[in-house]
Amino acid sequence: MFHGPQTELGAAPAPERPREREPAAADRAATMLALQHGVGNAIASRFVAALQQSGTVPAAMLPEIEVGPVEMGEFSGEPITAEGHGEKPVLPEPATNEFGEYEGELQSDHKACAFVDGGRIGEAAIYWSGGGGNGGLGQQGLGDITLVAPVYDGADPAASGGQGTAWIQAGTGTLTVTRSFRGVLNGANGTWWFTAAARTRIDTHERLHIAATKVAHDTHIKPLEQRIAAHTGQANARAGGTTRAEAIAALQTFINWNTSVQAFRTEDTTKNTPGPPLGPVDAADKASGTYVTDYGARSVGGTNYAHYADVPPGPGPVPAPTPPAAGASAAPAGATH
Amino acid sequence: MRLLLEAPRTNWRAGETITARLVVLNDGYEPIAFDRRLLMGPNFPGLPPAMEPGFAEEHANHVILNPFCLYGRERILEEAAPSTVEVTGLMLARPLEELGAEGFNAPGAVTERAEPLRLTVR
Repeated sequence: MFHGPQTELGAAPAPERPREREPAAADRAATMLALQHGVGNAIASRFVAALQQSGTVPAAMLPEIEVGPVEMGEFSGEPITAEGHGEKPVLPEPATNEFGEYEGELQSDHKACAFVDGGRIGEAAIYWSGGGGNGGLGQQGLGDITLVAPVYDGADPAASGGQGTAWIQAGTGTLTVTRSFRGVLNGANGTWWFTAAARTRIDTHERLHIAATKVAHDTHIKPLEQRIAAHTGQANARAGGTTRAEAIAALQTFINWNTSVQAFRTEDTTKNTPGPPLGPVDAADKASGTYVTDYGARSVGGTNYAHYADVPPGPGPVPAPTPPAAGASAAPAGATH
Repeated sequence: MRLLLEAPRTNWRAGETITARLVVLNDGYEPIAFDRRLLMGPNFPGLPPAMEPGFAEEHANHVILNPFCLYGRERILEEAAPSTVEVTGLMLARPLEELGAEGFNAPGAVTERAEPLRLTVR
């Protein structure tokens, strides 16, 4: 949706626009690309579909755009929603190593509405404004964590009747949780206008998600890292069982890798989920009375926006319009009846 | 006084712009007054709550409704995706900025809630 400055409609016919020469194929592709970048793929697709339906566009133009089958009233592309994130997050099953322990990058497609700690990596139009904006979003999925699973080693007892020993090879058993977010633009964000205060408040919200992730990290991952550090390298071997295999099994149980990783992922996802229903981070912040609020349609600098985002109490109060005096005619001066 | 949520229809197609309205109805037989700054909604899930700006003159923020008269607010959700959209609306007891840490989740923060409006987007 495009909102431009309002202008008075005159009765005179509009001047005829000179016809332009039909652009070459390369120019058309560049034009379509610019259109997609400018207004978003969904709007561009609908525009092309409408032209196709009206017969305005030569058929030879359409394959270059690759919008797919388009029916009347429908469009190709992924719509951006207010929910923003679709279904409830479901954590994918992680890969495991030879010891059956989770390894690799565990990622989820579901992004938190906001959070941080890789910091604010940039800004873009707010994701819910339509047109493909991706501001106000975390850059990692809920529960994302990069793992190098522990590789266990061990030794049989040195003498009969002794205990086996086990340790974790150096350089293995590492876990990295990274969080960053993209902020929103100051001013126009598609059909939304964000004040400077609203833009800053979105950043604050994102940092709440980061803080929640860090709590989950410190609860589940930090103690795990400490257990690993205590038994990394043969010098820190842990005794257990009567054989090497039993010692390794006992160390695996002690480390508790999979359970700890899964507990982090579950807590991170539960706290930061954008829903529905909203997770506790979003629910508390959005009810706080300080969160970004939609003050409705408003004209800014001569441009009309469907939504004016600010923080309470909202835009500075203006004098109320004076109602016409009782008995006064509402008709404009010079009007005839 | 009753709060009502309305939409032109309950079933929408993906990509459409959904319109919803929150209506304050004076369903009593005496005039009523309320502060326009306390009306919140219609709220779409995932979007910031909907309010409206106040006026400089305090009296201008108070809306007076005669019996069986209406006041309302409209909001839109652009490019809706397939889902069930629950629209909500409520009347606060005090201005947002005076509600404290719990905001409108605090006991007594809300004086009236509209029956949520459920819209289906296919």
